[in-house]
Amino acid sequence: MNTLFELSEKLKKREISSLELTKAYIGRIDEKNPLLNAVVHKTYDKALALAERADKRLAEGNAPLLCGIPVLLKDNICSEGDLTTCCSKMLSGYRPPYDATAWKRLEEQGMVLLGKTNMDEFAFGSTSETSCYGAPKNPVDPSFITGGSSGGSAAAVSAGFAPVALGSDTGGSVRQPASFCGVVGLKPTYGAVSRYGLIAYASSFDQIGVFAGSVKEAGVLFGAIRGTDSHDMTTCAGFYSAGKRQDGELSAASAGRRLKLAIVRELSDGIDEDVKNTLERARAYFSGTGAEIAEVSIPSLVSALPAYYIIACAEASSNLGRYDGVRYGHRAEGAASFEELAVKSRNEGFGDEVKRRIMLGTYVLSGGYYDAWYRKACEVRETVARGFLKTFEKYDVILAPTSPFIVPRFGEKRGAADLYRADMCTAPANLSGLPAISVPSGTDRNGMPIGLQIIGNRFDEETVLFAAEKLEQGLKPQHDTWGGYAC
Amino acid sequence: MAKISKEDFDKIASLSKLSFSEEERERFTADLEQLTDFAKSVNTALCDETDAEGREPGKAEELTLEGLREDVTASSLSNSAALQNANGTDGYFKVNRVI
Repeated sequence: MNTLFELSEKLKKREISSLELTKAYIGRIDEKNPLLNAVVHKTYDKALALAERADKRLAEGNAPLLCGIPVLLKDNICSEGDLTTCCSKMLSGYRPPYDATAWKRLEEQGMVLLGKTNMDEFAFGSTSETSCYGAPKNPVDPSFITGGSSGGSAAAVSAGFAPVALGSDTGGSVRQPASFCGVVGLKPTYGAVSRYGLIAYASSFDQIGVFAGSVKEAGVLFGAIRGTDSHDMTTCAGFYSAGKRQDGELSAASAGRRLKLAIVRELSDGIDEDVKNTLERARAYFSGTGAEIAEVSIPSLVSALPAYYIIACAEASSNLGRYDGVRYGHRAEGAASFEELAVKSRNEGFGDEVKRRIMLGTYVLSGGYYDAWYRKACEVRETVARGFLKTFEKYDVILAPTSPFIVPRFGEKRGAADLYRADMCTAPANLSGLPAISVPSGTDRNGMPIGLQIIGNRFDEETVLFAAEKLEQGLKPQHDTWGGYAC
Repeated sequence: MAKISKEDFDKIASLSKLSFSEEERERFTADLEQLTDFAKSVNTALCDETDAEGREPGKAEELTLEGLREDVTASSLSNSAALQNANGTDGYFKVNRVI
């Protein structure tokens, strides 16, 4: 399995052309995707054209590192003219008339788009099972789920369908499937990457993130997509101090530093025994490297997950108000009035989980309930954010589990609230806008991957990547079947 | 567990521009009750009354206006690009007659 760096080297030395590389990945997808269902829309014509263009650039010399490298995008990231459906009947057939900024930046680097990946409908979920195209399967063992909501991107990178992929993370949707599929998943600081062209779920949490086989590769892809964008006023790359690098390469000052890590009690309470053991191994490993590591408490985290769901559903209920059958999306037949058109189109176009979250969001925003639910959740959010900032006054990063439980098998019974608990360890970073990364760190009793999380202070991806690389060096399982060609 | 009355459910559904059959109403009411039960710790959560600078929660810093761009005309989607995903257009978005 070649890394991004090895592929780039081969492309630059003309040992292989981007067209040959692209065709090899297409062959891999066509062979294995019928089993894994990770890719839901293929953009092969565009890919071959982009590969030819990349080859010309490579022949001219001075092409960027990512030039000619294939990539996959989650099915909620727009690319002009290509099907982008959020894996929902509502957006079946939707072809955006513009590019998402994140994809545009990759295209400018010369990357080659192979297609769109499977996900939970509108990213509402943590199993990818609510996709209207059926769930993707875990390449490590297809009888297990991929996690979600970016399950298709995680499975695709794990199965070697592309060296890297983009996803989106609202409450853990990049990190949790990365953990379940044995790959690296980075959610950047809120505001680091433009959300323009990312179909909105919860705008104050949504952040485009990256999947890769290693921390360094994830850092490079992040470096390529981050930065301010006039189309997204929440982007604010100006907070990155000069001299700090986000491209996976460390400054000299970082490389030799002694890390100070915190383990937050509330993020590691009540977790699965195998996850707990992996966390303990990580603690021992970091201690052995001379790092300072201590257990701390952020008491407000007890209400972080409910607060996250209240705010996320509230924002979703508003964001999804745009789907009324008029400008785009499913349009019901035979409606007699505008009201009926909207209700019928939404009833037919949305799946149950989407309806559930719209209803919950509308409930917490409605008269009589707003103060007790939405307003209170916003107060919890601020208190949690302050708890994290206080922790980062003393510590560089937080070490935490990514998922409180091990990878579930298909068909295991789970209730609605149980499913929401999947985000227990990941949603707090979204609630506070913090960067966080999941790194493969162990295996569970079924031989499935366990990822651990490094959470850092806002706009301090450099330290997050530094600590994550240490974790990767110390704990990444040397597993034949992860990070490509698993099945 | 907090109960969601039939009237409340119908009001939320109407605001959400969704409608439900009798069977769906029962199922979704049970789910909503389960979820509000799961989230109820928020109602009584102890929050900081003021932040480090003495501001009340929800009263964030006043917006600084330095980051705002000049209000200049920029190009936008063409009429045909904007309409390409709409059904049944004749050069404009179509809705049912409202008056």
